Amino acid sequence: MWSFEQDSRERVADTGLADKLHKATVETSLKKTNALIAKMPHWQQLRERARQVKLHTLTHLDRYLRQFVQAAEANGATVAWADTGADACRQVVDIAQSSNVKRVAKAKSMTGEEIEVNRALQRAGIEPVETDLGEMICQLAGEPPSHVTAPIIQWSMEEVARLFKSRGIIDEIPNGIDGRADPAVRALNAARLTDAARRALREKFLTADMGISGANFAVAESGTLVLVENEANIRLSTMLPPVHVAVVGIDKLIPKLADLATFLSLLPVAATGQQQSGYVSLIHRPYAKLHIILLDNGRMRLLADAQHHDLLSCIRCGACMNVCPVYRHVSGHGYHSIYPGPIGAVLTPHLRAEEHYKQLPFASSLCGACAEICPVMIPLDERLLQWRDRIVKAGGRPRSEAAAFAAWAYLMQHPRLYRAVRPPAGLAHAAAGMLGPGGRWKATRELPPLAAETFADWWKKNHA
Amino acid sequence: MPMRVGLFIPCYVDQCYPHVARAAVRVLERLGVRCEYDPRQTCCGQPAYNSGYWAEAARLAEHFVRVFDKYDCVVAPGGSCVAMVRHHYRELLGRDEPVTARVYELCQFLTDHLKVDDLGASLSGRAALHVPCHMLRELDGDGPARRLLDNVSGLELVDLPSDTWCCGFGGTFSVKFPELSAAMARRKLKQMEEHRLDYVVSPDESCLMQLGGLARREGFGVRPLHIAEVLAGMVN
Amino acid sequence: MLDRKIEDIARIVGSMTPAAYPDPAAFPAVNGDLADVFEAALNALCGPDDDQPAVVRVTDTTEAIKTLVELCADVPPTEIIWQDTSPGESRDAEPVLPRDHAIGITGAVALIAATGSVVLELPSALAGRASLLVDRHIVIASRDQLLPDLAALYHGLSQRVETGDCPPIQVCITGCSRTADIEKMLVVPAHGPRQVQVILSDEPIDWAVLHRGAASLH
Repeated sequence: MWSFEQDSRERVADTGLADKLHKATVETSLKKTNALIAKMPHWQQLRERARQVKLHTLTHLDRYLRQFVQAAEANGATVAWADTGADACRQVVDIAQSSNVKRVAKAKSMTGEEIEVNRALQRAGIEPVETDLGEMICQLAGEPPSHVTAPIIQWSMEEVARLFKSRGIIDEIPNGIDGRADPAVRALNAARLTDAARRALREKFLTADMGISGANFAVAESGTLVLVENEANIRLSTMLPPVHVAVVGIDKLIPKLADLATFLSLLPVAATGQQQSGYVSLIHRPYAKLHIILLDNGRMRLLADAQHHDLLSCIRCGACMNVCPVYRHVSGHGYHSIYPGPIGAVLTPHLRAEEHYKQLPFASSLCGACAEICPVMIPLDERLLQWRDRIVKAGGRPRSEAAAFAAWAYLMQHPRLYRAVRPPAGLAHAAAGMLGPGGRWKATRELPPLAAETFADWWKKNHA
Repeated sequence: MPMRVGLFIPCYVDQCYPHVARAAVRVLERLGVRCEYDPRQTCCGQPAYNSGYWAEAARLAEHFVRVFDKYDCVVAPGGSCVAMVRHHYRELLGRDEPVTARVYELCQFLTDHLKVDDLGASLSGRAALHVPCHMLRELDGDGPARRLLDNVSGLELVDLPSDTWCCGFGGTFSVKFPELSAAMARRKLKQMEEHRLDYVVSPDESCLMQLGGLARREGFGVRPLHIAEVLAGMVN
Repeated sequence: MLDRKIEDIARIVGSMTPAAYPDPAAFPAVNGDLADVFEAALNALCGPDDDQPAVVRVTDTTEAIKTLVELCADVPPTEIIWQDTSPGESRDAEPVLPRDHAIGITGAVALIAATGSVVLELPSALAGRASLLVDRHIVIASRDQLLPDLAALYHGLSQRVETGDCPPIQVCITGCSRTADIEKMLVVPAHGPRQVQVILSDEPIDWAVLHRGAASLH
């Protein structure tokens, strides 16, 4: 079984990883996010409203789904339902095959990653082309994205250049690309690499027979799909090809277009530290053939979870990853889950049945930075705690741990016993280093000695 | 009838860092607060709660209420434990226990309850203030501790980007993932060292156990100090 | 299938405590002349290599034509693409393969002062190309199209749902096409325009006059 502990140990050993992740988060995105929030007196009010809108939508989801389907169909879209990722993939492939599609332009979509639609297309002999720069690099490298809004967050420019050279996207690796080079030269090289990707993808955009996207929001009152981006690849993917398939989780619903004022004031700030993203496309009456596939894939089960259904209000901004000290040491890949970071740690065990995801709720120091930044106010730290309670109650932890906590709790409820069994300080210290938790502590840090005299004893002598 | 003030000394402070508790007593007594200490107190239950053992944690919460209910006010030199009692007992106990709202973290008690910002303490050097995450986000933030340290003569508080980052302790997280936990502490200590700091001052000794434990293991020159030690003038 | 699933969801939702739909959020007032606020916001979004101002202020259509001709100097008309209003609109009947142009010229339906955004409504696929498959996107707009913030835009759009006149596609463009995927370094452009320029007129634009006056650019 995959082990977070083992995996994290290896990732932590690579100190360069954490350096890169801190640079990309605290020194850039997060800095911009915090600077914008400081200038937004209505930030908290917007967060509260966003939470309310999402909770309202979730508790009236049948009504809003019905409204959305009706409106979208009236607008000319074909709307279908998919129970699972495999089901959605099958439908996407069917649509592609019935339109004789050879090449698909893919807009960046976490839902697409979740259902692994690329693999399904490839198996059917259809070429999926990721068009977001970061996702394109992930596809070329054959690795999953490491962050929901910054897929190649831990890639260095040098690594990108080497990949591009090996794929013939550039002829030569430019000089002045490593971290020590002149920043101005590096900026120029980043532009060069981006330009090469732009050229390589241009032809693919122009010849794609179908575009696949997700949606950031699906507006019930008007049947509108809302797509948010900076690169313009989503516009190209959804507007140029004659067929557009949007795979939309049922959690993306919002009641009204007016609600976009709230969500679009929060999302770019939290995600990338921008006041507004480059492009917000509202697809209302499509001119291409538009298929909307509404995706369940575990969401209905989560909706029925009285305590955790608010996890469906996540807008995939990735801010909880940026602020998370665990994420900043292990990266998205460290979670072994397409949704990483704090939201991934609580969402993935709901969406996926594999037992190893039950480790993720424990992979947090519970510092609460995620809940503090979350633009839709999901109490992520509480959800992590509740998962731990559930896993313990279901017997999902080692028996020895459960026995230790039971014994410890017994001791702590019996103060006289607790005070009586205290071993001499020196002996305790020596023993602690050999016992489980003490030994694990001492693997990386010094253990404090037991004091020769407890405070309780001192108090008795001096105050009683 | 005079106000009864109970001392709530976190279990690990009682066992490993009694000088921190003695420093807190000195600060309070200097301000004329007469404290009581009930030796039946043990642990607030946070380690069990954070590890998912809520039934065990609930039993300790009941024990806490039994011990402390008699006081008008409870003061603790440990922000994390106070946050546990104030914000998580309700869920564990399934009811509101009035005593939980009467539990104060030391700094908060000094600045908000006693309205004292200046203890007349002095300490020369440069320091970072590390406020435990639960105090930062569930109690009064870094305000009370900062106000108190601002008035310590000779002490220069240096603001670092890492001030609000978790130290990596996280209770049993620290032993479940020792390398990851230590890496989180290391990143903070490195930043402190780059800024040539002498001390890291915190209102919570558990974070200092983590930071100090790594500092000693790896030879960082930053010295961990509990804020009570600083305010009591008990730094030697 | 869909109906059956929605029934299932209705059953789940039936056991939940319904949450109320909240009142609209109060957005802080946008202070100052909206044109100035817009200009400052769009200028702040300029790419590192922008060689031209993001906003050019003019008084009326005549001046807008003059500015437009200047901004398009040295670019042959074959490298300029107009959004719908172009005589080339007839090309919709016989589809022309999309290709890149040096300059795309569009109008706007609204400008958002607080964010420096340009709002376009795209009636056709062809219409979208002028703001997408181009190196430079020039927008001709006027003061009366200025809205204070996104709240005004989307609240207005919600009202149009009731009257059934939602635009087929609306795109809110805020600055140039950009990416920061590689080491978070800002690169302009990504897949779309390198620059968005707005010719902002005090008077409403007379499009018939503009087309005649800028005939050399068609």
